[in-house]
Amino acid sequence: MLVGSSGLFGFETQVPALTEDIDIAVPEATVARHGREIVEALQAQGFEHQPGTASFIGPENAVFDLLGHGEAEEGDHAGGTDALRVMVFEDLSRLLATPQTTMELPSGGRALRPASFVVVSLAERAHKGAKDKLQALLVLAERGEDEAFEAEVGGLLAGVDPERLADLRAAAQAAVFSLQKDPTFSDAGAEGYSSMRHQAEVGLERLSALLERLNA
Amino acid sequence: MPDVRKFLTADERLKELQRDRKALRRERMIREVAGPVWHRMVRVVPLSFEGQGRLVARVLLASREDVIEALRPDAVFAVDTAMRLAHGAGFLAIQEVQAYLVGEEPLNRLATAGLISSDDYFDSIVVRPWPGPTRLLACLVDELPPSREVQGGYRVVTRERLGRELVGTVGPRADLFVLYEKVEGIETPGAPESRTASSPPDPPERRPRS
Repeated sequence: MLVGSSGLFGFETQVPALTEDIDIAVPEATVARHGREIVEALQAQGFEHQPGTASFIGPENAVFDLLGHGEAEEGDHAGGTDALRVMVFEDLSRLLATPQTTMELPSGGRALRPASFVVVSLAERAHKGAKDKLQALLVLAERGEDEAFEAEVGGLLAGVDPERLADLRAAAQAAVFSLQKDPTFSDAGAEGYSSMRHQAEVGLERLSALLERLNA
Repeated sequence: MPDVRKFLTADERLKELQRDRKALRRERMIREVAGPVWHRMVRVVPLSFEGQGRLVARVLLASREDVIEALRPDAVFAVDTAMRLAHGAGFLAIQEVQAYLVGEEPLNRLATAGLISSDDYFDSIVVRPWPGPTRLLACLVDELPPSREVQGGYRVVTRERLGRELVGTVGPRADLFVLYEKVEGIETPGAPESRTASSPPDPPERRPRS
């Protein structure tokens, strides 16, 4: 499952991912059961495993990280075995528990649907850097006229608890503020978004309107 | 060039996440202390004064009041200056002049009159935590933003825009935002003398004059 910034590779969008590393979520249970085989299979394809991590470097220096998803009730934790340890995020696990939040890719594998991408990026690790929040706001701005998309985002936001919604709103505002304050915007990996300030503001306005409708 | 990227183990990522969560708990505490004002403030889409056009800084060679008076026909005053002109109180410690202008003609006129420096000053950071001369910070725009006229005939940004400029200048500062709400007479739910309307209307808006 393509997640993180790589989620932008999973659907049609003009929003650039900017970073080239790929995040792939796999079921925690699979990692626990087949961790060594996963590492060996990837090594056989030319991906070098970084010992002790869930990162792999491909033949052309493409980097990808594996992370786990599992039971949301278990909270954030490290899962897997010594052969392959992955970080399991509660937020992502909760969202991926609903199959409708993802879609099949024509080339195989799955990716987050655009609405899921927006909500995960906004809600996951509320204190995380601004890059993910800006990507989500830019997708919101880009697809804001699409009523079905907006309804889907609203539906997913409705499932987030009110305190997390307040975190999410504050983090989105902070991301736009950071972008405005620093013309050379230097949040790691997000420098290329400085020219998209207006679109990020539009995205924040749309998010605000959605949250108002939820009375959040 | 050697690749200096550090790949994190799952345990290191978990520690990073726990640090994030700790920072989040602190933010939630600040939110709780700020009370309802925080929720109103975080609804504001920040507006960056300096990002609206080309920002030019000039050193004041005359009093702030004289410079503001000289700019009266041309400027829509913004940020702290707008709040001071409208209400006599501002939100920045340093009292400078922030204004939107169309074109450089007013700057040249004030420079010729000896009110401001002829040359641009290198430091145009709006909120600077270091000392320096008092400046005129002029944001040169194609079209002046919507404004309202306040006592003395000065044009200042609208009430709504001022709130956005405040958050866009100092970030989500509940103490300053509550001051803005108070001086603007914005009704806040639960406030002692709350009226039925959520906010008094802006005075008649003036369309941009260039």
